Amino acid sequence: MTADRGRQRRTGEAREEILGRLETAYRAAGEGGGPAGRIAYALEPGRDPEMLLAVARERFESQEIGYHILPGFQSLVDSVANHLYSRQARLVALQPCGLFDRLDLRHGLARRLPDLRFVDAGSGLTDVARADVGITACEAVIAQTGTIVLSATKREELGVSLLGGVHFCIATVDQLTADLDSWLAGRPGWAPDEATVLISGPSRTADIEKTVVIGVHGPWKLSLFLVKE
Amino acid sequence: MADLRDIVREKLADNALQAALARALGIVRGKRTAAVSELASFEDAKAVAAAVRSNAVQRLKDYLPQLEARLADEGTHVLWARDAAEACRMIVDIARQRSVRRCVMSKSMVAEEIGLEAALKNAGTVVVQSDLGERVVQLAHQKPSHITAPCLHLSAAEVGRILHEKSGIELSSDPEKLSRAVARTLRPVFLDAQMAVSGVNFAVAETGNLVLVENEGNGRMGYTMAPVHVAVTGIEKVVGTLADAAALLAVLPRSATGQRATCYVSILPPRPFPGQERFLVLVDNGRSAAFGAGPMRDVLRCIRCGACMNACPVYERVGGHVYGWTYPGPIGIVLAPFLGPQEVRAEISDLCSLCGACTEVCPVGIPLDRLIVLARGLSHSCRPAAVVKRERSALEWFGRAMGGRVSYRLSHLGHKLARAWFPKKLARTEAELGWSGVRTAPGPAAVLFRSRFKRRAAAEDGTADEGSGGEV
Repeated sequence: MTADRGRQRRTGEAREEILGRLETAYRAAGEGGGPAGRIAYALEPGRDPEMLLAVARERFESQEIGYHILPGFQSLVDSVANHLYSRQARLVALQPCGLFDRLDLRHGLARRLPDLRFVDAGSGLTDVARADVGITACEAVIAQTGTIVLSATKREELGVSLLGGVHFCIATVDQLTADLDSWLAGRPGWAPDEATVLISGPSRTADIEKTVVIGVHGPWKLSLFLVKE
Repeated sequence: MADLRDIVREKLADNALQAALARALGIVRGKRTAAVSELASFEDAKAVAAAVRSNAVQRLKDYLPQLEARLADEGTHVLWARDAAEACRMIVDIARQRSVRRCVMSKSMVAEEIGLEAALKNAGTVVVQSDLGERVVQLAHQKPSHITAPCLHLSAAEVGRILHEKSGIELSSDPEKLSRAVARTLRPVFLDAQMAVSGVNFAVAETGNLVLVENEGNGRMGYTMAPVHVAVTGIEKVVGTLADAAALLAVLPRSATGQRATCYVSILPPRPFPGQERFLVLVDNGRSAAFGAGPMRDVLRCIRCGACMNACPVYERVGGHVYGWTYPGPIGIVLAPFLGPQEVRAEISDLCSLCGACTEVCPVGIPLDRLIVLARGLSHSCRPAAVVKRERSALEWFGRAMGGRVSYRLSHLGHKLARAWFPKKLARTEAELGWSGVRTAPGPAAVLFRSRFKRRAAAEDGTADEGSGGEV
């Protein structure tokens, strides 16, 4: 308690001193700066779904994101199960979400792949880290940068898209949006009280001789299942 | 302390360094060009990003308390530190009070600037750098040589040797094998870490979000796994809104690594995750002094992309260690008078040819070449008086010679005559002054510029007078 009070006093003094210096310099310099405007891109897909999809596909390919465009939810569970099978996945972490409950994804996968095991809901990070594949839904898909937008309130949920070697993400075509700016513009006053992660490819590094290596601390494979329904 | 020129000579003679720099910078420049071409206009994007940063810096006195209130309301502890020592003390206190034995650190320039790793180690905490490049230089007991590519100065073979000797990783020069091997050794460290330290790319005043940008996933691993997360950042990293942060995210990765987006951008909420404590340490360490330094205030716009050093022909030849502190390259020169420790050499402002390549590529429009000239002025007082006097005297003579038509013609004539009559003596004098040590001094022009100009203007008017040329 004494240490906490000491720290609070010191940080309080520092705060006043720093803000005081800024205030003094600000008075000397006065107001400045105008409105910032918006960054424009050479290729603007607008809101046309076909254009959005075309731009997004090009981005996914250049950013090593596997994508599978599916006609409807009917084929989704089959497709996910096939990919899990081909990757010889034994343990899967599912992000808790309404979409997966509605699709009854867990039972659908379990019926198709009887040997498949799931990390229990409410498990700790160490359990999530043991999963071969993490499966999540997403908030949006940004075409301009080939980005998947995820959100989570708990660290364990965040771990689903991070700790396994492979990340499967499920989205619908109507979640495609042109760019981050327009996605934010569609959410006036949005103040996320959950963590939002923008994912634009499997984890990578180019620290050694600028040679790109896919798969470092995060997943080495990212696959997006994009449902047209 | 060794002479800066000797250090530069040593780096220029280091063939392995020259090869590593040429290769890495060649790749990153090419990628940047391609990524920037996806913008409608880089100049327009730059203007937008510059306005965002300029507004944010101008409003720091309002944005910082707004950010603090937003975070504190939600349970994030906000600490203010006047200097590096104070920031380190605060973070060491946090670790001590929670009996932290093992801390995992993701890439943070501010942590590097304040010497946090050494401070935590001295306090008995094991610190493991988790960014691959940072881990390599940590194991090699070196310093990073670039702000986004810490081991850019090392070849794959050298990295392989370091990892083999220090970490027992199988000897290899294959970047893929080495990168994966380092990641494998770090996985248990993440699972076991009691505290994670990260930087912050942007802190959003309106919403209290902390934005972290990375590619490897080590930053995400840190703040996801550890029960205590300490985010440390400079006070200038605040932006007004999430839309402001989005504008900067459009130019940051393109300028830094030539990507349209990094693999991961985390937008952390102001409320810590359940079961986790979060601290934000706001570090001044000279930034408020830069804020009050007239035109030098523009240095606070910097988003640490490293584009200026990637474009710099001097950095390309000498690498980052020559600058002798955390921030190398053009941005390092202009930050040094404010953020640099006392021992940073004033002469690093001479590591610039004033070509302006840095200013051209800076995504937030910092006029780096102009600020480097100002930084030279600030460092002027630290230079030997005799050198300053000689240079001043030479420039005064030059000013007088250029100051009038007659004196200009006389100086030109004098130069020609001196070259003709005393060529060896003139060459020796130029060499002594350091002007022709590594280049051939040009002789006087056969035809004066003003004569050439007059002749060309006359030719364009169709009234060329062949007889007017040849003026000396």
